[in-house]
Amino acid sequence: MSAPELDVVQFGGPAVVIAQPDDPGAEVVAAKKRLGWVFWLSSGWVGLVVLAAILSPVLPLQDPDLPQTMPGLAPSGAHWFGTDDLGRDLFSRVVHGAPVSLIVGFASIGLGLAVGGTLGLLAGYFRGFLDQVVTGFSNILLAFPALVLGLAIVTFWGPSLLHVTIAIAVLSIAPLALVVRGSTVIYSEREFVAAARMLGTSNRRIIVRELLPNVVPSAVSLGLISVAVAIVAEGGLSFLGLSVRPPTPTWGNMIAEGQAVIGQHPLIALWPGLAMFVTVLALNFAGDRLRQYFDVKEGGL
Amino acid sequence: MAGLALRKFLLLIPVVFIVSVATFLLLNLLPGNPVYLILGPGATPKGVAQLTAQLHLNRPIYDRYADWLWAALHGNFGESYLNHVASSSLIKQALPVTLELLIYSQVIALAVSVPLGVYAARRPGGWVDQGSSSVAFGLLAAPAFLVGVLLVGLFAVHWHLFPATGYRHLSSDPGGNLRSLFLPSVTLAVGLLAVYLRLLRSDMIATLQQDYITVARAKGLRPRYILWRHAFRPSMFSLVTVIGLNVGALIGGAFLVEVIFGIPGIGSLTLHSIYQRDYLVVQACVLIIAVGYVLVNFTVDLIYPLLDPRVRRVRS
Repeated sequence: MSAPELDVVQFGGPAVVIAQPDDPGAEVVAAKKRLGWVFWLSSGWVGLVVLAAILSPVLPLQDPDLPQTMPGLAPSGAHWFGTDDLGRDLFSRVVHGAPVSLIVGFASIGLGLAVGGTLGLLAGYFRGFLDQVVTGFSNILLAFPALVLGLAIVTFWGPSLLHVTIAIAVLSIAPLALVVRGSTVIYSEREFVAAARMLGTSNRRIIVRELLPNVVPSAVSLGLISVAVAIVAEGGLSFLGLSVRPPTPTWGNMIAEGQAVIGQHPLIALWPGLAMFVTVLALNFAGDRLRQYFDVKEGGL
Repeated sequence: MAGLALRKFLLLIPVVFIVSVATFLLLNLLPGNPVYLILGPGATPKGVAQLTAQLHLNRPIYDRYADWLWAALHGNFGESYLNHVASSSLIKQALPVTLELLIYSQVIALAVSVPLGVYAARRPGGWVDQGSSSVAFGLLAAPAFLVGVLLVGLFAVHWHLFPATGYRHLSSDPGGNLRSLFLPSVTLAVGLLAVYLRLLRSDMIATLQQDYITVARAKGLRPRYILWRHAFRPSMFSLVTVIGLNVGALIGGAFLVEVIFGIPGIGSLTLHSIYQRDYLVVQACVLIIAVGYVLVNFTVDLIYPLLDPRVRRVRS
């Protein structure tokens, strides 16, 4: 509710950044031209985790649900991450925990972008009543405590992969719609849209052929960062036992299991925590870098 | 100034109205009959009929909404079906605890991020700037429940410096109160300070490139004086907005931290009520949290003119 006003204030003032040799503006301009190695490293990690998640049923790993050996072993050649308090192989459990996080993360944001993105695109292009309805409802939705709402939905429907995905997807619609709307509004006022309109191009064609290709890059970079948020949200629900339930390992429920024995076996919470941390960090990095690369206005999130 | 505040306040009324409708609909349109959810396996036809009448579920939904809203406006949010305590008194106990947690966490986050952000902006690209920016980016990726669990492991279980869970009242045990809220506040602050640092840094850099800063430098004012007296205040806009948004969002969003550390705040109350299907209490909590968020945003809007006289002119 206050964010648009803030933009006006900032853009109304003389907040022009003049590039000087030693200021960070110059650095950003230089960095924009290439994605840089951090981006590729981050994408590589995300790709690796996706691959591990897809292949986890066929990889030659120990059974994640069956105790293999002595509980609480330190990392070794046979058990790379050690074993948990029941003697289960932690490396295998972390790999088998990846699918839930990734499925919920990508599917919910995919759904959210499909619905929220479409709404934002239409609202940003047609403006008027539709715009007021979409922005109004999004702003009100944002006032609700997001994760508490997700919790309510999941508790009343019952915890399952599908319900968690839908709950997070619903919560992601409003912020995604607002951001897509914002960049659509900017592009709608550009000359090429006015030209297309004057040539008698249909609205549908303008949206699909002129606006969509321009909005997609920023939506993708925002999407990556949102996937990170969704993975953390799933982890939180999982931590509370409101996502996929044990014995199926998820990073969230593994951290919850590790919390009980954090004094004796800190590794049980540490490994899934590290996996989630690095994945979220990589998604944030990749999304942030893409956003700079495509030169989207800062502060969109 | 007063007229502006009044106009903004009047705009709040439709927003709060829609929020209340949405809260009510959300929990009433969820699939499943709450009567069966509450009674569970022990449901008998008589019990079902009794509870249905007690919750007024046999009446049309708009009637129930009107009754609920009317009672809520009088501070009566219905009572918990579990122990028949009024929701309002449950909230009255829980809300101050959450607010205390929020204040501590904001103080910790600001105490770290403001000096670091200002110093980083003074020499962009220097080692303080690069170091703090990288650490901040890392902290952004650390989920609160993970940070909480690790802090408990280190500071409570391993070093016994702070209690792992539990809450002491400020009035009965001030020292214990601070100690019991320290780890949860730090957990919340970790996520916040990364955001604050990045915001303040970029706004400060923009401010420091304005003409009046050059004038101040040319006049020979001390760099530290320019930094804090001339540059800091106009660079606080985004920071104040985001602090407001965070305080609003964390009224309900701190529940994971409250659960990990066993803090009886409004987040824990909501969560336990959800588990128990105590849906009148859930409704009351969600309404309070959402209205709280709206009110905090309203207050933040009022703070702008105090920060920057230019806004005062533009708006009125």
